[in-house]
Amino acid sequence: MKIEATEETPEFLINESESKISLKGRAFPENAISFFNPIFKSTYSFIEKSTSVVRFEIDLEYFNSASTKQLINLISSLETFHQNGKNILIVWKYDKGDDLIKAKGQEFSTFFDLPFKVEAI
Amino acid sequence: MNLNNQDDFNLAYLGQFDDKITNLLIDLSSNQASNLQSGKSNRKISFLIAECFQNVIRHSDNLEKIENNDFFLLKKAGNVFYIFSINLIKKEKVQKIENAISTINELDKDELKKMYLKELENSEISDKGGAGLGLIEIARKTNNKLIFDFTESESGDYLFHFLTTLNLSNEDEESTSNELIFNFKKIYSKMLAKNTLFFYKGDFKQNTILPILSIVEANYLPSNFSKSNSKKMYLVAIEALQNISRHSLEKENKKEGTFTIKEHDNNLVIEFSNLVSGSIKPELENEFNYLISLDEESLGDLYKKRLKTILPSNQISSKVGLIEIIKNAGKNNIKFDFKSSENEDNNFIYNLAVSFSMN
Repeated sequence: MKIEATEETPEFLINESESKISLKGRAFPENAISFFNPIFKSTYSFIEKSTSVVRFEIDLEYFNSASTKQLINLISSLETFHQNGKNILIVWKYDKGDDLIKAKGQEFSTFFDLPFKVEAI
Repeated sequence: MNLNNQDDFNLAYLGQFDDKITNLLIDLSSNQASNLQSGKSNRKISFLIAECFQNVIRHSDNLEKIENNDFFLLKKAGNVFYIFSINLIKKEKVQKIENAISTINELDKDELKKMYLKELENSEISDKGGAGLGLIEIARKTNNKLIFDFTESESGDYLFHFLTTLNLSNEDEESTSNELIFNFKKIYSKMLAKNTLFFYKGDFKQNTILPILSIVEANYLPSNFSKSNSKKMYLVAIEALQNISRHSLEKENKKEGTFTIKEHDNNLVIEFSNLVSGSIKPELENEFNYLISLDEESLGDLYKKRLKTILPSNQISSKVGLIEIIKNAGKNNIKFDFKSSENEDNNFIYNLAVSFSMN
Protein backbone atom coordinates (compact mmCIF):
# COMPACT_ATOMS: atom_id res chain seq x y z
CA MET A 1 0.00 0.00 0.00
CA LYS A 2 1.47 3.34 -1.04
CA ILE A 3 0.12 6.86 -1.49
CA GLU A 4 2.58 9.14 -3.27
CA ALA A 5 3.51 12.49 -1.70
CA THR A 6 2.25 15.73 -3.22
CA GLU A 7 3.08 19.38 -2.56
CA GLU A 8 0.55 19.36 0.30
CA THR A 9 0.24 15.73 1.41
CA PRO A 10 2.78 13.21 2.72
CA GLU A 11 3.79 9.85 1.34
CA PHE A 12 2.02 7.00 3.08
CA LEU A 13 3.58 3.56 2.92
CA ILE A 14 2.90 0.17 4.46
CA ASN A 15 5.88 -2.13 4.28
CA GLU A 16 4.42 -5.51 5.18
CA SER A 17 7.71 -7.43 5.23
CA GLU A 18 9.24 -5.01 7.74
CA SER A 19 5.95 -4.53 9.60
CA LYS A 20 6.39 -0.82 9.18
CA ILE A 21 3.96 1.99 8.36
CA SER A 22 5.25 5.46 7.52
CA LEU A 23 4.01 8.95 6.86
CA LYS A 24 6.62 11.24 5.36
CA GLY A 25 6.54 14.78 3.99
CA ARG A 26 4.15 17.69 4.35
CA ALA A 27 0.56 17.55 5.48
CA PHE A 28 -1.60 20.57 4.86
CA PRO A 29 -4.36 19.38 2.56
CA GLU A 30 -7.51 21.45 2.17
CA ASN A 31 -9.56 18.52 3.40
CA ALA A 32 -7.58 16.54 5.97
CA ILE A 33 -10.48 14.21 6.80
CA SER A 34 -10.76 12.87 3.26
CA PHE A 35 -6.99 12.59 2.93
CA PHE A 36 -6.60 10.60 6.17
CA ASN A 37 -9.63 8.35 5.74
CA PRO A 38 -7.97 5.72 3.50
CA ILE A 39 -4.88 5.90 5.74
CA PHE A 40 -6.98 5.04 8.80
CA LYS A 41 -8.61 2.11 7.00
CA SER A 42 -5.37 0.61 5.65
CA THR A 43 -3.57 1.08 8.97
CA TYR A 44 -6.32 -0.60 10.99
CA SER A 45 -6.68 -3.55 8.66
CA PHE A 46 -2.90 -4.07 8.60
CA ILE A 47 -2.66 -3.97 12.40
CA GLU A 48 -5.63 -6.32 12.84
CA LYS A 49 -3.84 -8.97 10.72
CA SER A 50 -0.40 -8.32 12.16
CA THR A 51 1.20 -10.69 14.66
CA SER A 52 4.53 -8.90 15.24
CA VAL A 53 5.42 -5.39 16.47
CA VAL A 54 4.10 -2.69 14.13
CA ARG A 55 6.39 0.31 13.81
CA PHE A 56 4.48 3.48 12.86
CA GLU A 57 6.92 6.19 11.70
CA ILE A 58 5.83 9.81 11.50
CA ASP A 59 8.31 12.00 9.67
CA LEU A 60 6.49 15.22 8.90
CA GLU A 61 8.17 18.45 7.95
CA TYR A 62 5.07 20.67 8.11
CA PHE A 63 1.46 20.01 9.05
CA ASN A 64 -1.65 22.09 9.58
CA SER A 65 -3.98 21.88 12.56
CA ALA A 66 -6.59 19.89 10.64
CA SER A 67 -3.94 17.23 9.89
CA THR A 68 -2.77 17.33 13.52
CA LYS A 69 -6.32 16.54 14.58
CA GLN A 70 -6.44 13.53 12.23
CA LEU A 71 -3.02 12.39 13.36
CA ILE A 72 -4.11 12.51 17.00
CA ASN A 73 -7.27 10.53 16.09
CA LEU A 74 -5.09 7.95 14.37
CA ILE A 75 -2.70 7.60 17.30
CA SER A 76 -5.68 7.38 19.69
CA SER A 77 -6.94 4.39 17.72
CA LEU A 78 -3.47 2.83 17.80
CA GLU A 79 -3.52 3.32 21.57
CA THR A 80 -6.76 1.31 21.71
CA PHE A 81 -5.17 -1.45 19.63
CA HIS A 82 -2.23 -1.41 22.02
CA GLN A 83 -4.54 -1.68 25.04
CA ASN A 84 -6.18 -4.66 23.33
CA GLY A 85 -2.88 -6.51 23.10
CA LYS A 86 -1.35 -5.43 19.81
CA ASN A 87 2.32 -4.47 19.82
CA ILE A 88 2.70 -0.98 18.42
CA LEU A 89 5.62 1.43 18.47
CA ILE A 90 5.19 5.07 17.37
CA VAL A 91 8.42 6.64 16.12
CA TRP A 92 8.26 10.42 15.70
CA LYS A 93 11.16 11.54 13.52
CA TYR A 94 12.71 14.97 13.26
CA ASP A 95 15.68 16.47 11.45
CA LYS A 96 18.59 17.14 13.78
CA GLY A 97 18.34 20.81 14.75
CA ASP A 98 14.63 21.01 14.03
CA ASP A 99 13.60 21.90 17.57
CA LEU A 100 10.03 22.68 16.67
CA ILE A 101 9.20 19.27 15.20
CA LYS A 102 11.10 17.62 18.05
CA ALA A 103 9.04 19.57 20.62
CA LYS A 104 5.80 18.64 18.80
CA GLY A 105 6.75 14.97 19.04
CA GLN A 106 7.62 15.27 22.72
CA GLU A 107 4.34 17.04 23.40
CA PHE A 108 2.24 14.48 21.51
CA SER A 109 4.03 11.60 23.23
CA THR A 110 2.61 12.84 26.57
CA PHE A 111 -0.94 12.62 25.17
CA PHE A 112 -0.87 8.83 24.95
CA ASP A 113 -0.17 5.71 26.87
CA LEU A 114 1.66 3.56 24.33
CA PRO A 115 5.32 3.18 23.27
CA PHE A 116 6.23 6.49 21.63
CA LYS A 117 9.83 7.34 20.65
CA VAL A 118 11.03 10.76 19.47
CA GLU A 119 14.06 10.19 17.28
CA ALA A 120 16.51 12.42 15.41
CA ILE A 121 17.24 11.41 11.83
CA MET B 1 -4.54 48.77 -0.43
CA ASN B 2 -6.96 46.89 1.74
CA LEU B 3 -10.06 44.76 1.64
CA ASN B 4 -12.26 47.81 1.25
CA ASN B 5 -11.00 48.64 -2.20
CA GLN B 6 -13.17 47.50 -5.07
CA ASP B 7 -10.51 45.63 -7.04
CA ASP B 8 -11.17 41.97 -7.75
CA PHE B 9 -7.56 41.14 -7.33
CA ASN B 10 -4.19 42.67 -6.40
CA LEU B 11 -0.74 41.19 -6.24
CA ALA B 12 2.25 43.38 -5.48
CA TYR B 13 5.87 42.46 -4.90
CA LEU B 14 8.75 44.70 -3.95
CA GLY B 15 12.28 43.38 -3.88
CA GLN B 16 14.83 41.43 -5.83
CA PHE B 17 13.74 39.35 -8.79
CA ASP B 18 15.75 36.16 -9.04
CA ASP B 19 14.66 33.25 -11.25
CA LYS B 20 12.96 31.42 -8.42
CA ILE B 21 10.77 34.27 -7.19
CA THR B 22 10.03 35.29 -10.77
CA ASN B 23 8.71 31.83 -11.61
CA LEU B 24 6.66 31.65 -8.41
CA LEU B 25 5.12 35.07 -9.04
CA ILE B 26 4.31 34.08 -12.62
CA ASP B 27 2.64 30.90 -11.28
CA LEU B 28 0.58 32.77 -8.73
CA SER B 29 -0.39 35.53 -11.19
CA SER B 30 -1.36 33.09 -13.90
CA ASN B 31 -3.29 30.98 -11.41
CA GLN B 32 -5.26 33.99 -10.36
CA ALA B 33 -5.86 35.07 -13.92
CA SER B 34 -7.26 31.63 -14.69
CA ASN B 35 -9.48 31.72 -11.58
CA LEU B 36 -10.90 35.00 -12.83
CA GLN B 37 -11.03 34.43 -16.57
CA SER B 38 -11.15 31.52 -18.88
CA GLY B 39 -10.00 30.57 -22.34
CA LYS B 40 -8.37 32.95 -24.71
CA SER B 41 -8.14 36.01 -22.46
CA ASN B 42 -6.60 33.91 -19.71
CA ARG B 43 -3.81 32.75 -22.03
CA LYS B 44 -3.32 36.32 -23.16
CA ILE B 45 -2.97 37.54 -19.56
CA SER B 46 -0.50 34.78 -18.69
CA PHE B 47 1.55 35.72 -21.74
CA LEU B 48 1.53 39.40 -20.80
CA ILE B 49 2.51 38.65 -17.21
CA ALA B 50 5.47 36.52 -18.33
CA GLU B 51 6.51 39.13 -20.88
CA CYS B 52 6.41 41.84 -18.28
CA PHE B 53 8.58 39.86 -15.93
CA GLN B 54 11.07 39.36 -18.71
CA ASN B 55 11.04 43.10 -19.10
CA VAL B 56 11.84 43.74 -15.45
CA ILE B 57 14.45 41.02 -15.23
CA ARG B 58 16.18 41.51 -18.52
CA HIS B 59 16.40 45.26 -18.46
CA SER B 60 17.01 45.89 -14.81
CA ASP B 61 20.54 47.03 -14.19
CA ASN B 62 21.76 45.83 -10.87
CA LEU B 63 23.25 49.17 -10.08
CA GLU B 64 25.42 49.07 -7.01
CA LYS B 65 23.09 46.38 -5.70
CA ILE B 66 20.50 48.87 -4.55
CA GLU B 67 18.04 46.68 -2.78
CA ASN B 68 14.28 46.57 -2.96
CA ASN B 69 13.83 48.88 -5.88
CA ASP B 70 12.20 46.58 -8.39
CA PHE B 71 8.47 46.28 -8.27
CA PHE B 72 5.70 44.24 -9.85
CA LEU B 73 1.97 44.74 -9.53
CA LEU B 74 -0.94 42.90 -11.06
CA LYS B 75 -4.44 44.19 -10.58
CA LYS B 76 -7.87 43.47 -11.96
CA ALA B 77 -10.65 45.99 -11.57
CA GLY B 78 -13.87 45.44 -13.48
CA ASN B 79 -12.97 44.28 -16.95
CA VAL B 80 -9.45 45.61 -16.98
CA PHE B 81 -6.21 43.88 -16.06
CA TYR B 82 -3.24 46.09 -15.18
CA ILE B 83 0.34 44.91 -15.07
CA PHE B 84 2.73 47.49 -13.68
CA SER B 85 6.46 47.21 -13.15
CA ILE B 86 9.24 49.46 -11.96
CA ASN B 87 12.90 48.77 -12.48
CA LEU B 88 16.14 50.62 -12.17
CA ILE B 89 18.07 51.30 -15.36
CA LYS B 90 21.17 53.21 -16.34
CA LYS B 91 20.84 56.73 -17.67
CA GLU B 92 22.22 55.74 -21.10
CA LYS B 93 19.32 53.37 -21.69
CA VAL B 94 16.57 55.90 -21.10
CA GLN B 95 16.62 57.36 -24.59
CA LYS B 96 16.76 53.96 -26.28
CA ILE B 97 13.76 52.62 -24.38
CA GLU B 98 11.83 55.86 -24.87
CA ASN B 99 12.45 55.77 -28.63
CA ALA B 100 11.46 52.11 -28.90
CA ILE B 101 8.17 52.58 -27.03
CA SER B 102 7.31 55.86 -28.80
CA THR B 103 7.82 54.18 -32.17
CA ILE B 104 5.62 51.24 -31.15
CA ASN B 105 2.92 53.59 -29.85
CA GLU B 106 2.69 55.40 -33.20
CA LEU B 107 1.97 52.25 -35.17
CA ASP B 108 -1.42 50.74 -35.99
CA LYS B 109 -2.23 47.02 -35.86
CA ASP B 110 -0.93 46.16 -39.36
CA GLU B 111 2.20 48.24 -38.96
CA LEU B 112 2.91 46.52 -35.64
CA LYS B 113 2.62 43.12 -37.31
CA LYS B 114 5.06 44.21 -40.05
CA MET B 115 7.47 45.53 -37.46
CA TYR B 116 7.20 42.31 -35.49
CA LEU B 117 8.03 40.16 -38.53
CA LYS B 118 10.88 42.46 -39.48
CA GLU B 119 12.29 42.29 -35.95
CA LEU B 120 12.03 38.52 -36.01
CA GLU B 121 14.11 38.39 -39.18
CA ASN B 122 16.82 40.88 -38.29
CA SER B 123 16.61 41.09 -34.57
CA GLU B 124 19.51 42.86 -33.07
CA ILE B 125 20.03 40.69 -30.01
CA SER B 126 21.29 42.68 -27.09
CA ASP B 127 23.60 41.19 -24.50
CA LYS B 128 20.57 40.29 -22.38
CA GLY B 129 18.66 38.75 -25.25
CA GLY B 130 15.95 41.38 -25.70
CA ALA B 131 15.23 42.79 -29.12
CA GLY B 132 12.17 44.91 -28.50
CA LEU B 133 10.09 41.94 -29.62
CA GLY B 134 8.54 41.65 -26.18
CA LEU B 135 7.33 45.24 -26.24
CA ILE B 136 5.87 44.82 -29.74
CA GLU B 137 4.10 41.65 -28.64
CA ILE B 138 2.65 43.40 -25.58
CA ALA B 139 1.32 46.20 -27.80
CA ARG B 140 -0.17 43.68 -30.26
CA LYS B 141 -1.79 41.51 -27.57
CA THR B 142 -3.33 44.40 -25.63
CA ASN B 143 -4.37 46.63 -28.55
CA ASN B 144 -3.38 49.44 -26.26
CA LYS B 145 -0.69 52.07 -26.14
CA LEU B 146 2.22 51.23 -23.86
CA ILE B 147 2.24 53.53 -20.86
CA PHE B 148 5.57 54.45 -19.33
CA ASP B 149 7.69 57.12 -17.76
CA PHE B 150 11.03 57.61 -16.07
CA THR B 151 12.03 59.31 -12.84
CA GLU B 152 15.55 60.06 -11.82
CA SER B 153 16.67 58.31 -8.65
CA GLU B 154 18.95 59.82 -6.01
CA SER B 155 21.89 57.90 -7.45
CA GLY B 156 21.45 59.49 -10.90
CA ASP B 157 20.06 56.30 -12.39
CA TYR B 158 16.49 56.03 -13.57
CA LEU B 159 13.35 54.24 -12.45
CA PHE B 160 11.51 52.90 -15.47
CA HIS B 161 7.76 52.68 -14.85
CA PHE B 162 5.90 50.50 -17.28
CA LEU B 163 2.17 49.82 -17.39
CA THR B 164 0.32 47.33 -19.53
CA THR B 165 -3.46 47.40 -19.61
CA LEU B 166 -5.68 44.73 -21.04
CA ASN B 167 -9.31 45.67 -21.40
CA LEU B 168 -11.50 42.59 -21.69
CA SER B 169 -14.59 44.52 -22.71
CA ASN B 170 -14.88 46.87 -25.64
CA GLU B 171 -15.71 49.86 -23.50
CA ASP B 172 -13.21 52.66 -23.30
CA GLU B 173 -11.33 53.16 -20.08
CA GLU B 174 -12.18 56.22 -18.11
CA SER B 175 -8.78 57.03 -16.68
CA THR B 176 -6.05 58.67 -18.68
CA SER B 177 -2.60 57.11 -18.81
CA ASN B 178 -1.18 59.90 -16.64
CA GLU B 179 -3.74 59.26 -13.93
CA LEU B 180 -3.16 55.52 -14.10
CA ILE B 181 0.59 55.65 -13.82
CA PHE B 182 0.32 58.25 -11.05
CA ASN B 183 -1.93 55.94 -9.02
CA PHE B 184 0.33 52.95 -9.46
CA LYS B 185 3.38 54.95 -8.49
CA LYS B 186 1.52 56.00 -5.38
CA ILE B 187 1.02 52.36 -4.40
CA TYR B 188 4.73 51.73 -4.94
CA SER B 189 5.72 54.72 -2.78
CA LYS B 190 3.33 53.64 -0.06
CA MET B 191 4.74 50.11 -0.03
CA LEU B 192 8.27 51.47 0.02
CA ALA B 193 7.46 53.84 2.90
CA LYS B 194 5.79 51.11 4.94
CA ASN B 195 8.41 48.48 4.08
CA THR B 196 5.72 46.28 2.57
CA LEU B 197 7.39 43.53 0.58
CA PHE B 198 4.44 41.50 -0.59
CA PHE B 199 0.74 42.10 -0.88
CA TYR B 200 -2.01 39.85 -2.14
CA LYS B 201 -5.71 40.51 -2.25
CA GLY B 202 -8.10 38.10 -3.80
CA ASP B 203 -9.83 34.79 -3.52
CA PHE B 204 -8.22 32.27 -1.14
CA LYS B 205 -8.54 28.85 -2.70
CA GLN B 206 -6.04 26.08 -1.98
CA ASN B 207 -4.60 26.60 -5.49
CA THR B 208 -3.78 30.18 -4.48
CA ILE B 209 -2.54 29.31 -1.02
CA LEU B 210 0.06 26.84 -2.26
CA PRO B 211 1.97 29.30 -4.52
CA ILE B 212 1.77 31.94 -1.77
CA LEU B 213 3.32 29.45 0.67
CA SER B 214 6.04 28.65 -1.86
CA ILE B 215 6.81 32.37 -2.16
CA VAL B 216 7.01 32.69 1.63
CA GLU B 217 9.26 29.65 1.85
CA ALA B 218 11.57 30.57 -1.01
CA ASN B 219 11.86 34.27 -0.45
CA TYR B 220 11.35 35.26 3.15
CA LEU B 221 12.41 32.39 5.38
CA PRO B 222 15.94 31.35 4.52
CA SER B 223 17.72 34.66 4.86
CA ASN B 224 15.79 36.03 7.78
CA PHE B 225 15.39 33.28 10.34
CA SER B 226 16.82 30.38 12.25
CA LYS B 227 15.44 26.99 11.19
CA SER B 228 13.07 26.85 14.12
CA ASN B 229 11.75 30.37 13.65
CA SER B 230 11.27 29.92 9.93
CA LYS B 231 9.30 26.76 10.55
CA LYS B 232 7.11 28.59 13.04
CA MET B 233 6.44 31.37 10.57
CA TYR B 234 5.62 28.90 7.83
CA LEU B 235 3.21 27.01 10.09
CA VAL B 236 1.50 30.25 11.08
CA ALA B 237 1.19 31.17 7.41
CA ILE B 238 -0.37 27.79 6.54
CA GLU B 239 -2.82 28.03 9.40
CA ALA B 240 -3.88 31.62 8.81
CA LEU B 241 -4.17 31.29 5.03
CA GLN B 242 -6.30 28.16 5.31
CA ASN B 243 -8.32 29.90 7.97
CA ILE B 244 -9.28 32.59 5.46
CA SER B 245 -10.16 29.90 2.96
CA ARG B 246 -12.39 28.08 5.46
CA HIS B 247 -14.02 30.79 7.49
CA SER B 248 -14.20 33.90 5.37
CA LEU B 249 -17.62 35.11 4.38
CA GLU B 250 -18.40 33.84 0.91
CA LYS B 251 -19.47 36.43 -1.61
CA GLU B 252 -20.21 35.58 -5.23
CA ASN B 253 -18.51 32.22 -4.78
CA LYS B 254 -15.36 33.89 -3.54
CA LYS B 255 -13.69 33.85 -0.16
CA GLU B 256 -11.78 37.03 -0.25
CA GLY B 257 -8.94 38.17 1.93
CA THR B 258 -5.58 39.88 2.00
CA PHE B 259 -2.12 38.67 2.89
CA THR B 260 0.74 41.09 3.52
CA ILE B 261 4.39 40.70 4.43
CA LYS B 262 6.27 43.70 5.74
CA GLU B 263 9.36 44.58 7.69
CA HIS B 264 9.00 46.55 10.87
CA ASP B 265 11.66 47.24 13.53
CA ASN B 266 13.72 44.22 12.56
CA ASN B 267 10.65 42.02 12.57
CA LEU B 268 9.01 40.32 9.67
CA VAL B 269 5.30 40.91 10.08
CA ILE B 270 2.72 38.81 8.29
CA GLU B 271 -0.81 40.15 8.17
CA PHE B 272 -4.04 38.47 7.22
CA SER B 273 -7.45 39.99 6.83
CA ASN B 274 -10.79 38.73 5.72
CA LEU B 275 -14.45 39.51 5.91
CA VAL B 276 -16.49 37.90 8.68
CA SER B 277 -20.18 38.06 9.34
CA GLY B 278 -21.31 40.32 12.19
CA SER B 279 -23.02 37.28 13.75
CA ILE B 280 -19.76 35.40 14.40
CA LYS B 281 -17.75 38.44 15.51
CA PRO B 282 -18.54 38.12 19.26
CA GLU B 283 -17.66 34.41 19.28
CA LEU B 284 -14.38 34.97 17.48
CA GLU B 285 -13.47 37.93 19.66
CA ASN B 286 -14.26 36.01 22.87
CA GLU B 287 -12.30 32.98 21.70
CA PHE B 288 -9.26 35.08 20.84
CA ASN B 289 -9.35 37.04 24.10
CA TYR B 290 -9.76 33.81 26.06
CA LEU B 291 -6.82 32.09 24.35
CA ILE B 292 -4.59 35.13 24.81
CA SER B 293 -5.45 35.26 28.52
CA LEU B 294 -4.15 31.72 29.12
CA ASP B 295 -0.61 30.99 30.26
CA GLU B 296 1.51 28.52 28.30
CA GLU B 297 0.57 25.52 30.41
CA SER B 298 -3.18 26.16 30.33
CA LEU B 299 -3.02 26.78 26.59
CA GLY B 300 -1.19 23.44 26.20
CA ASP B 301 -3.89 21.68 28.26
CA LEU B 302 -6.66 23.19 26.17
CA TYR B 303 -4.80 22.20 23.00
CA LYS B 304 -4.58 18.62 24.17
CA LYS B 305 -8.21 18.56 25.24
CA ARG B 306 -9.45 19.90 21.92
CA LEU B 307 -7.21 17.63 19.90
CA LYS B 308 -8.36 14.56 21.78
CA THR B 309 -12.06 15.36 21.69
CA ILE B 310 -13.85 13.23 19.14
CA LEU B 311 -15.95 15.54 17.04
CA PRO B 312 -19.37 14.75 15.60
CA SER B 313 -18.95 14.09 11.88
CA ASN B 314 -20.77 17.31 10.92
CA GLN B 315 -18.37 19.49 12.89
CA ILE B 316 -15.30 20.23 10.85
CA SER B 317 -13.53 22.81 13.01
CA SER B 318 -11.73 21.48 16.07
CA LYS B 319 -10.80 25.02 17.13
CA VAL B 320 -7.11 24.24 17.35
CA GLY B 321 -5.96 26.45 14.43
CA LEU B 322 -5.84 29.65 16.48
CA ILE B 323 -4.13 27.85 19.37
CA GLU B 324 -1.54 26.58 16.91
CA ILE B 325 -0.90 30.15 15.72
CA ILE B 326 -0.53 31.44 19.28
CA LYS B 327 1.73 28.55 20.31
CA ASN B 328 4.00 29.07 17.31
CA ALA B 329 4.17 32.85 17.35
CA GLY B 330 3.98 33.55 21.10
CA LYS B 331 1.01 35.54 22.32
CA ASN B 332 2.93 38.79 22.69
CA ASN B 333 3.70 38.80 18.97
CA ILE B 334 0.11 38.65 17.82
CA LYS B 335 -2.36 41.46 17.29
CA PHE B 336 -5.91 41.19 16.11
CA ASP B 337 -8.73 43.60 15.52
CA PHE B 338 -12.05 44.04 13.80
CA LYS B 339 -12.86 46.95 11.56
CA SER B 340 -16.29 47.64 10.25
CA SER B 341 -16.47 47.11 6.55
CA GLU B 342 -17.12 50.24 4.51
CA ASN B 343 -19.13 48.36 1.95
CA GLU B 344 -21.10 45.97 4.10
CA ASP B 345 -23.32 47.09 6.95
CA ASN B 346 -23.28 44.02 9.16
CA ASN B 347 -19.92 42.53 8.33
CA PHE B 348 -16.46 43.07 9.74
CA ILE B 349 -12.92 42.86 8.54
CA TYR B 350 -10.98 40.55 10.79
CA ASN B 351 -7.31 41.45 10.86
CA LEU B 352 -4.52 39.33 12.32
CA ALA B 353 -0.89 40.45 12.43
CA VAL B 354 1.94 38.18 13.58
CA SER B 355 5.53 39.37 14.09
CA PHE B 356 8.68 37.30 13.94
CA SER B 357 11.97 38.69 15.10
CA MET B 358 14.70 38.55 12.47
CA ASN B 359 17.50 38.55 15.04
